[in-house]
Amino acid sequence: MSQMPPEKKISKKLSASFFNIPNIVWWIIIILLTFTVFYPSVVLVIESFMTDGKLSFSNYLHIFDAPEIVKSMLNSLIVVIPSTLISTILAVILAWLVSRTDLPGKTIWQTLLVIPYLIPPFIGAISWTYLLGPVGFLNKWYMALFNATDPLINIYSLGGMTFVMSIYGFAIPYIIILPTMKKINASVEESARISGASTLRTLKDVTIPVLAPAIFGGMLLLFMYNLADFGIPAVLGAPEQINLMTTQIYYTILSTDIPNNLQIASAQSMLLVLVGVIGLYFYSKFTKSSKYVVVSGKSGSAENTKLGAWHWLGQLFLLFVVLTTFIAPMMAILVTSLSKVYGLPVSISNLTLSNFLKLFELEYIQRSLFNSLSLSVTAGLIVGFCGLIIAYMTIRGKAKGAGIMTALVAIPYAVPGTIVALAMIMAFSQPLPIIGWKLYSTYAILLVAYIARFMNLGVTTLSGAIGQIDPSLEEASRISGASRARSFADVMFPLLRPSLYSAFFLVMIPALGEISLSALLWSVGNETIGVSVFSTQMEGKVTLTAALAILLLSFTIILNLVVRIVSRGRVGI
Amino acid sequence: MSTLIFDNITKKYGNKTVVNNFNAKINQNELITIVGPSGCGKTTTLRMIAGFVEPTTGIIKVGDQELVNKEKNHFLEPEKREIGMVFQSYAVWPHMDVFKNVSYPLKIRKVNKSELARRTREVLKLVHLEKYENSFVHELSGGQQQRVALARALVMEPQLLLLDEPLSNLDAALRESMRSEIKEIQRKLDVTIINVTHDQIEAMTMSDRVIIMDHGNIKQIGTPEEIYNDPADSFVAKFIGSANLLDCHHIKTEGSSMTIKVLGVEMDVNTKDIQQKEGKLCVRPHHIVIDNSSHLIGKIVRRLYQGDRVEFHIETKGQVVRMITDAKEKYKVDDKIGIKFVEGIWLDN
Repeated sequence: MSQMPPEKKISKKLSASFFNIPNIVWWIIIILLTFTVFYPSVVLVIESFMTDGKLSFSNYLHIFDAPEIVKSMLNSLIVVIPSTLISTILAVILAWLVSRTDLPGKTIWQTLLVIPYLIPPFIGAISWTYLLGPVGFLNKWYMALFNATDPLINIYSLGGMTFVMSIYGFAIPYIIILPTMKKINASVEESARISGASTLRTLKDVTIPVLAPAIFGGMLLLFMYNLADFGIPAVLGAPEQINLMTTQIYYTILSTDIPNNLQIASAQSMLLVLVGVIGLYFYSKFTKSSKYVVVSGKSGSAENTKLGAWHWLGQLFLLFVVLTTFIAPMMAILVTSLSKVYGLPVSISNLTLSNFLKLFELEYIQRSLFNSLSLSVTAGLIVGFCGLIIAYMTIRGKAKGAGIMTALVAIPYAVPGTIVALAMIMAFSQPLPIIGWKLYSTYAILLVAYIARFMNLGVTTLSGAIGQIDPSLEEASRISGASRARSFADVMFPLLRPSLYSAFFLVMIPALGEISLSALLWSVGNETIGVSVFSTQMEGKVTLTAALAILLLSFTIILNLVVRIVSRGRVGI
Repeated sequence: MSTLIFDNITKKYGNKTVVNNFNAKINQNELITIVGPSGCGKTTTLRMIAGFVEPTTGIIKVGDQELVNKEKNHFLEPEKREIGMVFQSYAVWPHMDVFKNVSYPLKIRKVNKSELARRTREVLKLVHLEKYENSFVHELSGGQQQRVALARALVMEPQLLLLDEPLSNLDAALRESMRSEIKEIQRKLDVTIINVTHDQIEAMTMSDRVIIMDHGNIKQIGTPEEIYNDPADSFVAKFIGSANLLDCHHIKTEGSSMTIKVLGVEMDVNTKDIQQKEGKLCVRPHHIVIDNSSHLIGKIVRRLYQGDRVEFHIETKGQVVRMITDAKEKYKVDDKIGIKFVEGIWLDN
């Protein structure tokens, strides 16, 4: 080697560092993400300051001027803050009940409680319209029972949105709080007890402070998630024209009669992004807090609280939660999907399968089924592949641009889907410079948006998996004589294969029921299931919507079972 | 293998120097142990030989072949170095059975099937795992996994074998038997071994020579006897075997012996080329004896019975010295006894 002439050595060095396959793929992915994430983001920011082709603040002034936009911001706060608080309190109580008490059947409850997480929020909202809509089952039973003329609750209201958001939101803080609560080391609490603190005092001085980062972290994450949600306000706000920030942005984008509508929508989006960034900052502060160290010890599980006679109350409460979040709404959808006419009492004569048959007769529904399936499979494959490379290169490869890459991947997932769609519209509605492709109103823009949005799922899943594999496994292969690429193929890839499958399905599940991107990016011929559900609902084809929702839910549940099997129970519900 | 040479190897992470100016020559078929407290740079040094860490400056070469030369910006990838290595965590691949794990280096080298099988079985026999060919990692005990890792490192018959604290995860009895087995394998295969450990007993019992490191610097290189009998400084004296380190003062040198004063009494030690008048005297605990005619009187403050021997902590002139004697000594705590230093080593610092 040392005898080699210098110029030959330089070329050898170059070929080793630049022209190997992982590096080429890495740079292709960087270019791809620059094109699909960075470019649209820049366009969004610039456009928010553009009025009639000139830079100005007038879009920002306009959003605080237009009454409907100001109202949407207030509405967002009125709905999101209470529902976040309710969900978090609910999550803490539930997590405590199923992890720290002697309640029988805890493990079954633990699983049952996360099921709402599987239901796309807009499907949840639709299901509750069957229960608490003006002619919903519950309202009708109430009116029949008490001879009332007005329904008990009208779900198409701010209160209705708060209710539905609360019962579908608790799964997020619950998923974050539960493992922390389970992991609290017995000795942490026992040392407080032996120091003379009572049970209650221990709870106040030790248990709650230790849990605080998880609780606040989960609450913040839920706050951002609720603020970004499009499905629930879209379904429940439409009849009475009650808008939250996301739906207001949606309608601003569609109001082509307003001059500068896209730019105004951009300014609205920037405001929402700002709140999200602040939230994310505090979230990372909470999760990085050193207080977490206390709980990360060996799980010598703490002593369970004895509920005694109260345990019936606990069981009843859990049953009530599962009923309201899962059983009742699902039954409502199922019954509706099997009804000949919506609104008639449940009876054998009103049952039919024709709604399901009709699904396969309507051409646009067939198309949307095909599109959603092919989009989610393609997005799953691409995200799985790119996610593997990104995760590997950022963790093990110490590749250049790893920090930028992580940001490019995280942004489209952290930002509301409506905003991602808006950025895509503005970036790709004109033919691209130089190459001249026009992506807008094609199948490709949906695919690009899905990939950008869900890349984060793939990267986080695979980063986690790579982090679990000791670097020496790969080093052992290198020292045995295998090149970097060969070591990856022989050692890392086989070990990562289950996680790769998980990543694929974890992308496929939300992609199938995707609504916030699709609602803005669909075009005739390029409908998705979410769009079809949404439009049949808007058209008042109630029973057909329910049948389609049942179809989507079945896909979701089956895919989730597949994830559980391929990941050997590590991922999925 | 030809001689392994380290030439001014330095490794820095930012401003932090992890290995500082490491120079050493390791001979063919030697078993060298690099020993030192955690964070001393020993593992980094080993990983620089393997090629997992690139030095900041310096050259590592085997005979004429340069593994890394920072002056010429030359770096040989680990897979090109033909080195065997056993990792601390064993790094046995969980998705392959024992046979596949061990034969992997041969598979990479495209050795034909029958020879691959023959050589793999041979090396499995060497580590007493011939019955476990088709087992998977999770079916093996820690000691067996360790043997798999060792077999995998040996199968391609490397001339240099690196061991990264391979015994630290084993229990005491297993550790002892593995030590002698590694020694045995080295004799059979004529392989140069570089072993890294923080266990000084392992370093002393296994090695031909020992390199002692602290804070990135080599403190001493020598045979176990040299290091024990003539430690370079008080760090080495304390790290290898236990030692009492007492302030002392040089009085005179006469030929091969010199007279020093320690704890108010005079004694003779071997002459050393000394730079200063004040130094430290290193006295091994078993080089202190009870002598009630001695002028040095101390009070026993602690008595540690160890079965075959007794360790006494004796307070004298404001210092506590440790003495090890035969178990038959019946002195108790608070007894006053006279002690005498039989042997001692002058240390400059």
